[in-house]
Amino acid sequence: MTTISDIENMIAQVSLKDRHAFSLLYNATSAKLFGVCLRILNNRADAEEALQEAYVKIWNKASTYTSNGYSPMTWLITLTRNLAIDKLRARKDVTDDIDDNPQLQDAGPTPETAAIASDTRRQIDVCLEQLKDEKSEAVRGAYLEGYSYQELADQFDVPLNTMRTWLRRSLLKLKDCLSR
Amino acid sequence: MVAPQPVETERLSKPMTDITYSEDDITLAGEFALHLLDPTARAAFEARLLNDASLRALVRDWDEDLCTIANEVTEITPPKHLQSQIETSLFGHEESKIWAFLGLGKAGWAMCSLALVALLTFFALDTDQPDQSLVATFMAEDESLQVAALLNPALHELTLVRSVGKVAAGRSQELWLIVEGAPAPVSLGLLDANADSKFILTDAQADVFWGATLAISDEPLGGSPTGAPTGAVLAAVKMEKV
Repeated sequence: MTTISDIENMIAQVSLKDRHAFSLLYNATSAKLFGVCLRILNNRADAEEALQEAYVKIWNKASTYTSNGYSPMTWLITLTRNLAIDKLRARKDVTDDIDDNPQLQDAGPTPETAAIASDTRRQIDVCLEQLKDEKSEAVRGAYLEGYSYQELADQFDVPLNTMRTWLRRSLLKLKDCLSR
Repeated sequence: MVAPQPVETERLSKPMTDITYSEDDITLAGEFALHLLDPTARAAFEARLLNDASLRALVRDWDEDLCTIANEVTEITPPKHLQSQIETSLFGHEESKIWAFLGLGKAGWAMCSLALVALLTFFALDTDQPDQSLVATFMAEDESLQVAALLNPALHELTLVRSVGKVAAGRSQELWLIVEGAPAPVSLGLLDANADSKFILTDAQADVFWGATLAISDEPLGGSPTGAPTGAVLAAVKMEKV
């Protein structure tokens, strides 16, 4: 079982340009990061490109990890997610057919992966539950699918400014809940 | 199929509860973390982050808290070819760049994709002394191999002393003299796996020594079977006199 501290050690080794550690890190985390890319980009080719760019970035930026205070999976996922959304925004074809989803089931045996089932950090779920359904859906949608304010406004059939206000208020409520 | 195992996550840094953030900053940081800011606002916020550690901590808190949402993202094995594609794009080009830099171009040599390479230009310390003097240090980019080169010019004797690293099991390390304009690198012989290695330069080689490049390559046991380098350049150094 790959633990969080294993992942951390791999990243530390990668920052010293250890290729073997990089390979181990890929084996341990690529399924999760690929899932993140696919969820946001909804397109195999784009997701593969994004994953490649993510790991290049991970290789290049591993040395900054040790001083940034992030937990390892959060760092990896955040880096990947942001990169995927940048790609999403850059895509010229803005009106993707969102029914055109790739097969989301795992196609074959999964290599040893590090799940981030965080027994200790379910707070966001509890706090999201405290928001009204559509507000928590909007936050989830932004996070998981990379929806923009305009897309969220369209989805919930409200003006753009209303969606902005909703979401900002939701963020404040979440922050309040998370700080308790 | 191995079921993914739950993993403990630990927050490595405590939330900065002693800092009071404005509501504007809390929402901005949250919007930034969610990637909801438009490009201008995003760039402006990134500029603020460069100089504001407490703001960076706020973003980090958001990233950490929101990341739990990713638990529901299905893990999907990427296609097999991606890993080697990624590693080639990171490591493969380094080697062809180095071989090209050494003036060798693509001569069809098989490249081992394992080693990293760096070029160091080193200046000769003093070649007037009859004894040997340190003329260069080979250093692999990942510092896994460090070799000092000492030259006894009177005897045309080059001694290589490996201070860091070793020869991989079942492999040999071979020393090459690469002269600009020459058709191919010339093998000076194999490095000793366990002791210092001594190489005697011919008069012709001694004549072209300064200005030439010395390279150590990874080869099959016994050295290159072809007379030309077949494996990765582990380290190389250009011999330059002050």
